[in-house]
Amino acid sequence: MITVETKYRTLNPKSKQSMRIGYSIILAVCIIGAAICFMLRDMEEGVIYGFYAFAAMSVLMLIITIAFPKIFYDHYRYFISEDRVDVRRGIFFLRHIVVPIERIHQVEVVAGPVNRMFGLADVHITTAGGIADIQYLEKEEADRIADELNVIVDRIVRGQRE
Amino acid sequence: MTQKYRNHPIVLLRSVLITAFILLLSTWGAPWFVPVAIVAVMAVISVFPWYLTTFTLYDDHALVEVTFISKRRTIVPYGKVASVNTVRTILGRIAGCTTIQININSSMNAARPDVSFTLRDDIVAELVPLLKYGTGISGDAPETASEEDVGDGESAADEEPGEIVGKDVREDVPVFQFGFASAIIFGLVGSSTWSLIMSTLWGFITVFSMFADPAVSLMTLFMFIFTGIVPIVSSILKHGNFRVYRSGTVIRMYYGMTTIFDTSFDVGKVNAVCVKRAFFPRLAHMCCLQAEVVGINADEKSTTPNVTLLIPESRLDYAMRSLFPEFITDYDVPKQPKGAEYPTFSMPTYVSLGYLACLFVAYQVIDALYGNASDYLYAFIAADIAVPLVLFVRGFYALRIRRMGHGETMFTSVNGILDTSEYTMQYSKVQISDCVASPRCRKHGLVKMHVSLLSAQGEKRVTTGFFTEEEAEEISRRTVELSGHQLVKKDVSTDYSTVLT
Repeated sequence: MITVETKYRTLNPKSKQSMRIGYSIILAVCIIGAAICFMLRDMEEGVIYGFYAFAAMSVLMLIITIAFPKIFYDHYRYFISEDRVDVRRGIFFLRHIVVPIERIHQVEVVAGPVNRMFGLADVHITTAGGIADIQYLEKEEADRIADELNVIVDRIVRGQRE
Repeated sequence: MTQKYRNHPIVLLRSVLITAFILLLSTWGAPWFVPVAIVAVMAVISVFPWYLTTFTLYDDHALVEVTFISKRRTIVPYGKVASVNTVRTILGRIAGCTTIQININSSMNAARPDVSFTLRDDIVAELVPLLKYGTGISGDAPETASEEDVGDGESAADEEPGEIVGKDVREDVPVFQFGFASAIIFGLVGSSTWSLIMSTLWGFITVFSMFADPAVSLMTLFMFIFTGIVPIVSSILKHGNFRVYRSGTVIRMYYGMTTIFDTSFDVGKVNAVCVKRAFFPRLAHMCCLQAEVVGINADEKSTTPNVTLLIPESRLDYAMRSLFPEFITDYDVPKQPKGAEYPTFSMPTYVSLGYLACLFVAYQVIDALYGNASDYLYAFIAADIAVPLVLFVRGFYALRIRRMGHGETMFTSVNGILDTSEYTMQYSKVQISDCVASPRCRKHGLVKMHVSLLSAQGEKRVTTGFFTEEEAEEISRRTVELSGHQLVKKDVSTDYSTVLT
């Protein structure tokens, strides 16, 4: 039923676009804030500093919007084997997350509005010690992984009951 | 074992009185019949849920049924129970009743009991042994733990903290018992040193402001009482007459001066053992043992539950042998490897530079807006020096303190600056392992680990220092390898492996 994957898999390239749109929304808010502060700069002396702050944040968000999705995509790797869920991810701080399959309590597929536009979804894996997630998967892939993990969790629970 | 029980009427009385008190305050000055009517209505409304909530013990599970408005059934299988507590408050003792608290081994609502039921003392005395037997927490209540025996805190244990009562571990003799003096010392310096520093600071500010501005001193006195006095007094009252027993695989703690707690759990439910060394006790070579078990100290929302109060370091070995022999390690716990100083000090460097830049901008902004930034020049200089200094001193101590070691079934991590925590965990209890490497770490082949586990408050992340990638990978590998060790039977494992392929 489940395909045992021994090699890490990469994300769908559409994930970069989804991330860019997500960051662009924050960028737009920063630009609007900067524009409002700029228009109101004559009303009060301190407002111009609000403009500088928003402008700096806009520049930062622009860099993030352009650079981060590609770095995130390049670093992101995951695989699911018979005994673990293994995710490598990060931008500056690279993380290697390992969740033993035996520890999984619940699996959930979550798709936000931006992800839905691109047919993407996240898989949230709940354990007793916290939540791990595999992000920006194709919806079908996310559903498949969730179904297969649920089968295993169900087997484990039934095994414990027996 | 299928008789249905209802909460003791004191629960009903308590909820009616509390709610009525709040409502009466809000209707102060109204005609006499208004408060009477409120109390009457409250009593009638409260009777239904009280009457319709029942608690039943079966051979393999406990059941709580609420049939008020909608029907709710809470089933607690004994196999899932982490700990069974009994709590006797002052009101409970006056009314002759005790609250039974049952906690499931789950991160959901870990800080709150899954079942909490108040019953008559004689019923509790009858049910608790049955409940402990059913859940596998079958240690019989030692005779010495009766309330009469607890005494007034003037036991021999007062002579020295952490008196070893029995050299050989016996079921009816506490492994450790602590008197009132130990509870006072623990309440003062045993918990968070940071909280102690903050409350002392509030104390100083209060004294200072009494002379400068009495109106301000009232507010600071209020802060001093709530951040310093109240936590210390409640800790002393809570930990007075602390006793800990081990019988077979069951650990039992009996403590409290006003509210009496009686907590039992199987050692198999311990997710981690921690040797906590707060700053001041560390100077006196003292430490305390803590354990991460769901449901113990359920009312303490932010701390790892204590299994002992402060004991001398020389007795730590005895404590481990007597209470947690399963967590005794035979491997070295070395310091961080060479190269750890680079990531340790790189973060304070970057943060300090960022902080100095922010201060510079703030200085310029204040100068531009108000033209009086030079009035605060010394404050700026002090801030310029203080924060980087604290960050670098912290880094220096982190280098000295952080350690990690691993063996076949367990690993140990020492972390903390003011208060250090030495966590020993079995790989089989780790839920998620997460290795993090910054660019600076990667350059030196180092990583930092965050290990998630089920704790007394729900979920907890234990962070290690910097260690080689190979060591961290080894811990992740063993975590996966041993994760099903206790949970899945061999035949079941074989069964689902066929599904996988």
